[in-house]
Amino acid sequence: MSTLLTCTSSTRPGSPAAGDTLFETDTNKVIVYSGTAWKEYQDNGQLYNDSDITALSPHLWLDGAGGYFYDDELKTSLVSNHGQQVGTWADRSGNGFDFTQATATSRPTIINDFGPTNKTFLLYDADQLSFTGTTSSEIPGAGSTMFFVLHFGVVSGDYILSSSDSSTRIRSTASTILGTLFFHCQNYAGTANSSTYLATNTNDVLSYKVGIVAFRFGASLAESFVNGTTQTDTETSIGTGNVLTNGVTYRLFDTSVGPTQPNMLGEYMVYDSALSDTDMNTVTNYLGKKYGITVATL
Amino acid sequence: MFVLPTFNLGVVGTVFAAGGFNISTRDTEANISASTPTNPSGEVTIAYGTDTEDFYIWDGSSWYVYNNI
Repeated sequence: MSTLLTCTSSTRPGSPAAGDTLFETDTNKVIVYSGTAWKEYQDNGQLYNDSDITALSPHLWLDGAGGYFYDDELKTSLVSNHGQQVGTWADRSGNGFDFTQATATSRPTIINDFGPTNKTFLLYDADQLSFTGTTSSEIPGAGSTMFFVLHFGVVSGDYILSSSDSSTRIRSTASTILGTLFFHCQNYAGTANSSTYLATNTNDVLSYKVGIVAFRFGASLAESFVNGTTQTDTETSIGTGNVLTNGVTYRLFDTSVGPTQPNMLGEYMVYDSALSDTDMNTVTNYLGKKYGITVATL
Repeated sequence: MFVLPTFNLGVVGTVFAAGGFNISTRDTEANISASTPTNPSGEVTIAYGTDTEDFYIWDGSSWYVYNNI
């Protein structure tokens, strides 16, 4: 086993020799003395295990990492370069629930090396990707969990997920003043139209930052989470309908917003159950490590 | 890209006659990720991913990745 000696950023050796290499425990930097100065090498985040997710068998998994973007809706060619447009975001779950866009001018754009751990996102301004449900994608709303990893411009009224029949609409509400952003389910699996249903707390945790928004729907309790923290508002009236319903089209980001406040999505997952707290922690920790987000544990 | 040092007074590892530092733990990322080595006091473990060409440091609770670029 090979090891490095440790120090902190304030306790670096005072008289180093060229080649001295240490690990700073307070910054996670590897530092190497060149002979005249310390050279610093910053980590790219904690190692995460995709097997943590595959073991939970997500119903739908759109992952910005690992090569799941194609140039058009027919998946003609893989694309991965910064600035290229995406016509298909392929479902990594293995279920084939790909989100696509046939109109070239409405395809989101790849943003590489973004956020604390240099991950890949799709940038949406007036763009959207959509998926039309099938018999195999349809699941009861009461018994589903969704995760979004996003960087959100403070845009009021933007839908991060909406269905063509308006039975499911997850949207933001915000003013132009930083600190008033929250998300809520305007509808979910057929609940009545509401401006307050399952609202996340009003704060700036997600304003212009990379964050994790999650919604968990059980038979008699619905909860929302931001970076693993349970939000104050919960609901006991749960929709009796379905999500990813057969024949219904679901869109990721469907409201046109200006290029000065674009939204970016790095990851989207759907599970066909209300995950246990343990499994919620597994997913949240995975996403936290992957995107460099400090998360709470349930 | 991180260049392994020629001289390593702060490194505890195998030193070749040529003066190079050798990372003795070389394995796939999956195997490295699944391991939880015990660090000696005041030291951290370093490993090299044979499938990723990244290197990894175990701080005692998590593996941190340093990407090959």
